[in-house]
Amino acid sequence: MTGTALRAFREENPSALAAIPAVPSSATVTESSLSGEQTAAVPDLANWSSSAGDLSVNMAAVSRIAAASITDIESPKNQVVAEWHGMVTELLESNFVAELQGILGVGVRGAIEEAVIPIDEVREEDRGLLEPGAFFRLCVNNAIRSDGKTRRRFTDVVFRRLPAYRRDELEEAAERGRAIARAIRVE
Amino acid sequence: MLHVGGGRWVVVDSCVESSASSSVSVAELYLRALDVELESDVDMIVATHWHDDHILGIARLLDQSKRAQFACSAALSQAEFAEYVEQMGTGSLATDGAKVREFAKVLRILGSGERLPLKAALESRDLRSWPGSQMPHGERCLLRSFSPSDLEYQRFLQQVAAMRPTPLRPKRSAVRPDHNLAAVVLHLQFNTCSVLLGADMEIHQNPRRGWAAVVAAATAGEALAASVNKVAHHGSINGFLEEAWVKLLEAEPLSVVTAFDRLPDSRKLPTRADVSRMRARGRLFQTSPHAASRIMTRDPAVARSLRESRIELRELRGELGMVRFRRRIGPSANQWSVEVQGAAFECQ
Repeated sequence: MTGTALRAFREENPSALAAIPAVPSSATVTESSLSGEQTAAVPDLANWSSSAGDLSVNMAAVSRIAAASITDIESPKNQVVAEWHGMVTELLESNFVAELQGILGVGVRGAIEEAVIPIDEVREEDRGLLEPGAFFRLCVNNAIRSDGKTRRRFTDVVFRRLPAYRRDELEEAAERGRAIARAIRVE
Repeated sequence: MLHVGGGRWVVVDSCVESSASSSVSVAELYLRALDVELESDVDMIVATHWHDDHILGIARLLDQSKRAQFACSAALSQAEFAEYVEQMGTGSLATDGAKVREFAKVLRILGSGERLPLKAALESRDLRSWPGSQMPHGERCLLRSFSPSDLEYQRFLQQVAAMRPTPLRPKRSAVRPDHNLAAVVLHLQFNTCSVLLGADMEIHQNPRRGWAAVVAAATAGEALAASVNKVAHHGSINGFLEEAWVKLLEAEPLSVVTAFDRLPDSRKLPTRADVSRMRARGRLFQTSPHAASRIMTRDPAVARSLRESRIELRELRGELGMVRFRRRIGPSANQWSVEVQGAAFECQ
């Protein structure tokens, strides 16, 4: 269940809120650990597995509570039908321009495209991450009802919170650069 | 690409076919098709600036051209830039795609100790000369740079410093900086004719920056007015200075422009107004039309969802074209002949 779907569920089921732990802010950042369907790896998130594991437990608790107390309300799951990895190249007044690499979907996987995306499509909590060079995932999802039928389809723009640069990594790279520059003769 | 006579070549910038996944530059393909020996016949490779549409494939080309001297803005040879390139483009920090990785390869080749010194380009700098005695046409040939200015050099390094990643900030890709003003404008001069290559140079209010500074340097250097002109900055109004056309070019020069395609469509260059402005000053050729935007065939439901969210996606596919200007150099000099191939055309 993505952060979007969770928020939708919470809005629709306020009586279940009291029993549901708050979603940790660090765990709202990505779709790949929240959506069980996805296999996209996020290899450089060193601390990801532990928070994802915690969130998986929380999601299971949500599902159990919802099933026990509100039997006739749908428990939506998401099916990602198309997915792109994106990088912001430019900010415009009400849109942003991005380069996309297709990851999943017919006519998507393997494609290199350019996109213009309304800034309105970016979640409020991600607006601070919207700047040139930032990475995000663009997904088209089907929200699936418990009876297996598609409830609705929606797009999702989720910005990735990559690990921070480490001082030692940066200094090592800078020293490599200085060594290369010293080795280059210039006239 | 410049053939200065006697089988000597200079390559200016590099690109790859948009549909190709390899890193082989179009320049390499062209030269090999002419049976040019990259290993011995390429005298110089110039990177006018490090935007990816100007350097893709340049590292491999440099590696193949063992005797070629590499020239670029003096600022790109500085430690500050090399540090930035390593921090953004290598190892576990790499997030940049091709944006700095290509230049990282170039710097490593140059630092291997097996290459001629890097030629640092600045305003009014002689990059390479070929004595007339060594040329079959008997005329001396001189390649000069008329930018970047000293002020632009300093500003570029300041810009690089501001772009450097800092500890505790999230990783992100290298940002394509707006440093067209730091691009290298080239002038190739024989006794009787010359060529001006405007790179992506733009105008600026400060006379020590942009085209105004270039004009000042070229005028002071008594540059011969050029009869062939590679139009700056894809023909944009930002790349146009009337004074440059008057002082640096002959009346009615032959001009060539390359298209620039970016979404949204309103930003494609050159515009119709740009073409009209340039055509009013002489014949104009374009290396290829604007890239055909191809909407990928996908699940109709996906396409509908994207439309509903007002998200516009397109694959930009460019076509390859070439405009070749030829002229006999020497006592029996005549006019330029022009040949277009592939997707290139003369603007009407």
